[in-house]
Amino acid sequence: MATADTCTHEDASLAENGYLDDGTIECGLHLARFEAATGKALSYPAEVDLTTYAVKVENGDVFVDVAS
Amino acid sequence: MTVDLSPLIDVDRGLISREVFTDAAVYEQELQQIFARCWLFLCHETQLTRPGDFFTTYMGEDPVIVVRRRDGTLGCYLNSCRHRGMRVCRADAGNAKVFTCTYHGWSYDTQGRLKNVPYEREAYYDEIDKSKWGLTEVAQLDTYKGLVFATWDPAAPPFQDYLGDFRWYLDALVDRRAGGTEVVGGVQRWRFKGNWKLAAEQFASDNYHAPASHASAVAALTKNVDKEVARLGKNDGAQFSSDLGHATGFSLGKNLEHKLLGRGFPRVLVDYQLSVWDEVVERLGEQRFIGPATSGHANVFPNFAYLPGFQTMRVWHPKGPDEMEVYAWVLVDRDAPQDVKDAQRRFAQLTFGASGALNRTMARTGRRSSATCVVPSPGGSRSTTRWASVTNGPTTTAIRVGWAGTPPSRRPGPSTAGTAS
Ligand code: FES
Ligand code: FES
Ligand SMILES: [Fe+2]
Repeated sequence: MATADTCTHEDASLAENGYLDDGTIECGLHLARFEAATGKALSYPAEVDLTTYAVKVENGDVFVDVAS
Repeated sequence: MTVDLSPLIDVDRGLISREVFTDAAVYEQELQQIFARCWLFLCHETQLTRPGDFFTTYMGEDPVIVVRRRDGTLGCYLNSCRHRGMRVCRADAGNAKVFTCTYHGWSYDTQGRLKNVPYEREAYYDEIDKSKWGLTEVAQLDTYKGLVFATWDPAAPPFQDYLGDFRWYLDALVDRRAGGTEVVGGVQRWRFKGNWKLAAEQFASDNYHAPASHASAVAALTKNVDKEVARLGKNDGAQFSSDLGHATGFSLGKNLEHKLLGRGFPRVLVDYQLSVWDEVVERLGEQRFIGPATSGHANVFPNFAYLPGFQTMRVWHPKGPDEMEVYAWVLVDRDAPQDVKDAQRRFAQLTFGASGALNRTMARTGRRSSATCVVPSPGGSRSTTRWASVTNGPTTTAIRVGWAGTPPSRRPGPSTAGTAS
């Protein structure tokens, strides 16, 4: 499972500005939280879930299905 | 409006009006002409090792954030949101990927660039040019052997030119061993009453106070009380001051071991100094090791001070004409063994920490000498000078401590030295 990188509150890259801790992604700007496994918005100011993408692993390579 | 200082200072007679320590207009002028222009000490590089590590401090009265940027360089910004001026960082130190203002939520990255404005479309119709609203950055920042300095003045000379001849003395603090230095134990902060210049002048070389001010503390720290207290006033020493106002004083003497024990240094620190004798002498020469690398005091203009040997470094942050806030660090040789670093930290706290024995005598004295400056005048003004001019009384306090003379011995290094008592 992969999630979109852009926070659903404002326009911020979660990889650049956020923290992944204990299965939760927290945005560094205004502290919106998302469940990493499902993209579900957990706390204000995020009201919209992160888009998720299917992932598969083949021979050690990780593929993300961005069309899904 | 500029305050004309010439009637307040009589260089030939060594007299200074007390007004320079109390007057609000003089103080404002110092903020503009000194603190907005000089190179000011920020912190030590070892406080900021990883990207995002930050430390908040002051330049004059301006709060600033010093941060290790993603590219590994250091940045220093005014800690004030470009929107409505709130602090964008409210922690003393830490690690951050962005600084988000807690008022309306503007976010800045570690380069100081404005990254996000909440409700940008609704509030600003998408017309705000974010590239123009980054944090205000210092004009110049430089590091010298681990020490980080910055200035607001783009026209200030490069840091090493500003330091000038004084570098020879500063190296005795920061270039003793190949591994350089690091700070240990965090930053202590405390406030005390008194004009910032009282502290700066004291560290710029008031040797004269030690026998009176520190007698009780030295008596508490040493075994051979009568001898050591008596010796406080008789050390062979030297002073130096440079044209830009950096100054130092230190004792000389031949026997480093006796000198350190006499100041109450614990055995482990004395043994450490003796154990690195060859390396330090190779780098600095014997006289610098016995003198400015292990004793004395110094003040880099305007407000960065340190005590070699005791290894405390501090900044006198001005907080109005009659108060200052001290930020204090403990500096150690990075190559020193851990037990020596621990002992150095404990000894620095015991002597010159916030409640250290020698520090308290200084803080008390600073408070009192400033308090004597704020005698209420008949008109309610706090300036002694104005009060005195009404009564025709003496208007000045002599601050010069002793007289310049011939140095006791020829010694290497830049010199404008007089004898130290
Ligand atoms: S942009 Fe992520 S919480 Fe505001
Ligand atoms: S003052 Fe900082 S966002 Fe408004
Ligand atoms: Fe409110």
